[in-house]
Amino acid sequence: MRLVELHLKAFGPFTDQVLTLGDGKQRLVLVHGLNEAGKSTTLRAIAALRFGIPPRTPDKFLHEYQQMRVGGVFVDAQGNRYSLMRRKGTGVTLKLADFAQGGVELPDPIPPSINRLLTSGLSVEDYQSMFGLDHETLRKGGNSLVKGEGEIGAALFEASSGVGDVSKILSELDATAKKFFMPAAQAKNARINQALSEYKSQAEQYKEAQIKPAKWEAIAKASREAHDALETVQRELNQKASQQLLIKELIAVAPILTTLAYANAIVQDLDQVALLAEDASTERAAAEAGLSDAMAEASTNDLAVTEQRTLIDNIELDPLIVAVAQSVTRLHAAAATVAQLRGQVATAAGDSASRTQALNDLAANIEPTSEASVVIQQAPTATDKARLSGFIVALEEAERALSQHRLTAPKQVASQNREPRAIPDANLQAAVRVALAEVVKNDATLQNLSRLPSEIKAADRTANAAMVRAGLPDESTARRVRPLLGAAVDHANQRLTALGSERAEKAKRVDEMKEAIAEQQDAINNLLAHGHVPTHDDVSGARAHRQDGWTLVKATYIEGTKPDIQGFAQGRPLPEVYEQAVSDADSLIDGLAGDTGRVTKLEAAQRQLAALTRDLTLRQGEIQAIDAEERDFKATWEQTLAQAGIPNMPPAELRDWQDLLGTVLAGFDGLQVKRDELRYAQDLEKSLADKLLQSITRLGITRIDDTDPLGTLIAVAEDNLKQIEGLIAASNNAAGQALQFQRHAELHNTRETELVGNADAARSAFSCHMGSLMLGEDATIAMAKARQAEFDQLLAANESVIEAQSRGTTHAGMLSVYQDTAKSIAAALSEPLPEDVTVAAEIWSARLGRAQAQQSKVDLAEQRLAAAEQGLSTNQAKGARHSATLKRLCVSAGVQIAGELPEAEEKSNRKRQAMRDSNAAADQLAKASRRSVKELQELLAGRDHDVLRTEESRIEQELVMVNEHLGKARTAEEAARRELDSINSSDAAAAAADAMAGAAATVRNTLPLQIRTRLAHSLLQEAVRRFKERSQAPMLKSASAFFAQITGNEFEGLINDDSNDSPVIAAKRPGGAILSVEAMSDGTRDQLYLALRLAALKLQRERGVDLPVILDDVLMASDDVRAGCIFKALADFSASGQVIVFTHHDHLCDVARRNVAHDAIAVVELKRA
Amino acid sequence: MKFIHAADLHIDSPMRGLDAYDGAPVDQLRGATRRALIGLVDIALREKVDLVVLAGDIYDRELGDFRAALFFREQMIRLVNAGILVFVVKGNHDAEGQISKRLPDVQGVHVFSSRTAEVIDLPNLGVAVHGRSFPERVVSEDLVPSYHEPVAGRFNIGVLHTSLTGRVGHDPYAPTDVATLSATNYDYFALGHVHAREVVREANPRIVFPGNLQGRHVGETGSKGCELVIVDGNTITSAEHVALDVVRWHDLTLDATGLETVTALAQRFQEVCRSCVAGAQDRLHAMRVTVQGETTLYALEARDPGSVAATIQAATQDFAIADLWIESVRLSLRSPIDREAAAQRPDAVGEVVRLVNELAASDDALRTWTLANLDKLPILPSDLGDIEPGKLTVGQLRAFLADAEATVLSNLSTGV
Repeated sequence: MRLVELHLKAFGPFTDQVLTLGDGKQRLVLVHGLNEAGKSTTLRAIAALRFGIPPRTPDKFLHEYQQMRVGGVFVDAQGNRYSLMRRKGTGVTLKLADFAQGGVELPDPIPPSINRLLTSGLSVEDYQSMFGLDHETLRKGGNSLVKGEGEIGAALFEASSGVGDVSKILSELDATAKKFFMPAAQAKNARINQALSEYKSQAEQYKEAQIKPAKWEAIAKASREAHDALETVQRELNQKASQQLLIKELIAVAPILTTLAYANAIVQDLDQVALLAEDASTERAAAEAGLSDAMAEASTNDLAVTEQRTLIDNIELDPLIVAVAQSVTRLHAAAATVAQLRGQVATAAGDSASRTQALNDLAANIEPTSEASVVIQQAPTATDKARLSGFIVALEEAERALSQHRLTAPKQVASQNREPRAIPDANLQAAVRVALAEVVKNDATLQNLSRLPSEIKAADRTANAAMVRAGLPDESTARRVRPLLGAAVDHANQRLTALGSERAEKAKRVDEMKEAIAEQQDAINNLLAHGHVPTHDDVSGARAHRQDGWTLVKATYIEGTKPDIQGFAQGRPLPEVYEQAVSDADSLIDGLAGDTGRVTKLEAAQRQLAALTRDLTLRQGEIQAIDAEERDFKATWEQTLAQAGIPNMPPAELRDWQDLLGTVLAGFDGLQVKRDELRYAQDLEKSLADKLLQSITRLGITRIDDTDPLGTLIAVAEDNLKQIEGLIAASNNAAGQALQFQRHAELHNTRETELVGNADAARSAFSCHMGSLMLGEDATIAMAKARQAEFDQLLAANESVIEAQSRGTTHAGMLSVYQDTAKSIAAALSEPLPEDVTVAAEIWSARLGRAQAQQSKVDLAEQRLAAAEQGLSTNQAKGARHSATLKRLCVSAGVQIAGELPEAEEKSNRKRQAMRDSNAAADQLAKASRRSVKELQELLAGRDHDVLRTEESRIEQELVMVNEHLGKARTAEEAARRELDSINSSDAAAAAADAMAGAAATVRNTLPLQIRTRLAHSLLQEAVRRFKERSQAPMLKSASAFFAQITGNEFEGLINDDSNDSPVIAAKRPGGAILSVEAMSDGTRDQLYLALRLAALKLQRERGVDLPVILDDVLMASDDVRAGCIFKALADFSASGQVIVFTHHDHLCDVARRNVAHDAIAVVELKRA
Repeated sequence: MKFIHAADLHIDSPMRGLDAYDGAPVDQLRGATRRALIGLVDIALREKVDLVVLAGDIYDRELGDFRAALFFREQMIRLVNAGILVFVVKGNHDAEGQISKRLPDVQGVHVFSSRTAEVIDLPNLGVAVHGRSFPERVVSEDLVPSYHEPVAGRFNIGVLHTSLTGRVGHDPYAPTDVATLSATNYDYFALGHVHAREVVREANPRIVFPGNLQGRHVGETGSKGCELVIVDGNTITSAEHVALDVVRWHDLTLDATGLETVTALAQRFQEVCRSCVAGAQDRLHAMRVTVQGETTLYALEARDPGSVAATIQAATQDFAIADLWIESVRLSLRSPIDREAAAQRPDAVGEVVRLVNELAASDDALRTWTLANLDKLPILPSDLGDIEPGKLTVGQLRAFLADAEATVLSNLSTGV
């Protein structure tokens, strides 16, 4: 769809500027603008109008985001005009507009068809890469051709849609794939190669670092055994050492045992004597003195006690009230508070009852069958709530993520849902293709069907004309002719020619003779001019004639034989003729005799004449003979010709005739051949039609009549195959879409599996927690939240009840404190419980005042009494203590009175000394041995000192030997232990395993990238190959024409130069010279690339993509002549669609005007904004 | 009484899937499972727990390195030296392993018999511990009915390696259910086998899978560690999860919608990472990142496969808050093309799309073409055997074809 007006309403630097891009016929538009005129902006505006203003446009510096507008008037192929306005933004940004009203946007929605017309289903990137060309693109394209060394497949592929440098892409993909992996065994640097090498290295390290359990066990067992052996020797050593120690011990304890026995005997003797304390005598003396002093002090104290008791007994007290004095005072002071508390208790009781009811109601909502207290026990704690909150958040988040994810589920395109039409069996397709291929193969023959009839007619005419020329009546006659051999014809011809020559020679001689005869005759006539001169021959002749006459006369008249006289007489009477003959002879004889000179001359002349005549006759005879021979030869020739079926003709003509006959026969042969060809073609056509008919019928796509001509069948077959190709393409397309869908679905499903897992886990965790909320596992989040709220309310209500109860309890408690106080006061005073606490408090307060005054007096007297009683008591106690001490000493010593104590003290000291001796001996013994005395005595039984010394010596020798064994066992044990200890808990193997896992991960992560890249490389390579195979011919042909036109026929066109290994594109000059891409100038290369792009765009346009081609400064490298040629080419190209050329070169406007018809190009001036 | 419940230590099990790309914090990965166990012992000592209960799978069945056992023994000795009793049941990984068979006993570490259920009464702690080890790798019977009656007056702990009624990703061993466990009237069931932490039942009894100590691959995400339980009489007064993992795994989804540059992608990634590592900045975080959404980065990745992954990896270098390691970057970026229209184009793009359509139409042709065009790999190690091109499934082949097409189209810069 052409753009005929561009309204730069608010775009870049432009405001309300309109560009008119030609009238209806001017499809080539040259937009000229000086530098900074806004050419680039205009280019962007054209794209933005069709495809939308990009979010990050550079053209929003002047106009507000919301104000940006670009509009245009478009004309479609049918001439319909569309006025459209594009705004910047999201959603629907294109609207119909009324430019007559200043570009007012209309509310009507844009039909989808207009969008399709605007974009032809292309993306803006597609459009720009395919339909946009600038100098840089041309140069890159040209350079790309050079880099690809003109490789034709890549060149066409790149130019087809303005894609990048295919050779470079392939090279980079290959390099990337090799960066990931290189198959060569010596390749080390690629990631996968490195990782595999690392894996192998780490696997070896892992193997080396591992300690197998069995190995460890063997080493441990060896260590244990060495250890056991060591212990055995050690035990033996210990045993010997023990024996040695025992002997030494016995030697040491023997004298101590003797001392011990002596001391124990003394102790035994004093067994009945009490063992007194060592300070017993000192203690006894102090007790006796203290007893005397205490008794004196006690007497004085007793008198003072008696005096104070008398005083106290005389004062009247009220102890009951005093005892509760503090209670009475507090109660009296709190009288007002008590009254207030009574009211508060009543209020709290009411609150508590109502709140308890509310609590029970809330609890029943949660669990009707349980007491509120039970339900409250189930209420979640703060930790539980936090946990639940976490579960809910996790579940909501997981479900939200899953839900959002499901919204993005890839959708199958409509074609995937369509039931695919059945594709006929490949064999059936192949049959049609074979049938068609046979048709194509026999195309030349089939084309004869239309050509041959006219050719046959022409050939028939030619053959018949030749036949007429040959004098033949019909073809069969001609067929019967047996042409003579060339030699025979030549022989005949030579013979006749020779006869002719001989005859001519003879005739010439005859003529010469005749001339000589005429001369002789003239001479004779001259001689005879003066009269007749008889000659001897005349005479002889006359005589002979006369004789002949005579003979005849005689025969006739004498003999009567009637001879033939006609020759002699000549119709006259014989006698007359005879007489004349006699006369003539006589006359001659007379004349001969009379003129001898003349006669001699005459006779000589006559002889000469006669000779000549004779010769003449001879020659004439010869000629006649020749004629006869010629006649005979000709008769024979005629007969030969007749026998050969050849019309009569001289041999000289026969060769040509025979050639003509050959032509005739060849004509008829050719005619027959053509007739045969026609028949064969007709048969072939029928055969091919039958095959085609059968194969088409088997395909079952189109119903056909068996009378349909081959052309119809071919069309049907091709149409069927096209339909099948369409079906296959549709099937392939569906497969491709399925591929895309599956890929997306796979990604989506993988994610969904994760999200479902997350949601399930979150749900499981959530559900597990529902029991604590007294909900089933199927409870929803809302239910959980509601239950949580119910529990919150319940707990709040419970708190409220507790608060009310607490308040009532507190107040009642406080009141009861006062009541209890009053109660306790009344009880203490033995009074009944007062009805009114406050009144009782008043009474008790007054009574208390009085009682407290009396009490003060008593208190003073009691203080004094107490002091006296304290003194008495203290002195009495002192005396008792000293008496008790003396008594205890007597008991200890086993005596009755204190006076016996000194003797008992002396015995006690002796016994103590004996015991000390015994203990000292026992201590020594204990140090020398741990054995009991009895055990030692048993061991020593029978062993005197000498025996012990002997045993000691023997054991020492045995110990030396065992120690040697021990050293060896220890060494072995240490070695085994060191080996065992060398196996530590090192993580070397684990580290190697980690490294192996890491290397495996590298391979695992990298291989997909390598595969992807390698397949991309192969895919591109194959696509290039296929593209070349499919498009080379039409595209190269088209590009060739463009190139010739662009270069002003400096080049004839482009060729596929396959003289080298790889076919390349090259240009051909009119003289036939070939110019490779590498040898071209930059400008020519640009033009070559432009030609290729125009060829590609032509293919796009043939497909119905009606979008303008935008060329931006593509003529920079062209001189005016070339530029003119390019303008011409573009003008031609623009016949199939709009071409807009931007330039800032002023002179190009003139070039364009000079080279392109005025009505084919519009030159537009872009004014600076 | 205070005890720790852990399971599935899988000592020395390697971290799987971590490609040691340039800049990856390789050193921090070393010995993660060991360091997690050391952390557990440290916690036990610091908290002065009375018991440590290990509910199976101490080692990996595939491992043959006895050093793992020696290491475990060292750590157990640390515990018993502090007066902490250890109770272990063997799980499916330990049952037939040579390691656990040959490891010398440690006084104070009780490994439950596999022949019969045992109960260990600890009157001074007021605890009875019940358990039974796996006799062999596959245990298809419910072991719980063989467990003893609870000991009266004790806090009864049942130790069991089980999949319960089945858990995704875990083999169904020693199946049982919550009702059966509840019927034992135990107070706590210390379960093992399932690597994701799960409080199966909050109370009466409390049933818990603590998860493994250390996640080993991206399938084991989130905080990993043990349960620290405090008991007063028969009442659990506190039960909390204690993180011990040295490397924390994340499966991160990054919404790249609207992002147009790799810088923006890196920033978005770092923003997401900040919240991911919050509260756990002291450890290494291993991440699988799935980038999704509508973004022009699709074209970048298609043109130069691996670019997005490289961007994410590079972004970890600038992330100062914590150390990150990218396990892999997966792309869920879509840029669907109108194949029907593209296939009708007479140009290069149409040729590519038609070729892909044709290949996609036949599984056999696709396989033949793909294998013919791939480089021949050397013989791969057995654990990489599944990625050999010859073993690619049709789905994988199709995915590669789609990706290759995207790469070609993107390189052609046509904008489709």
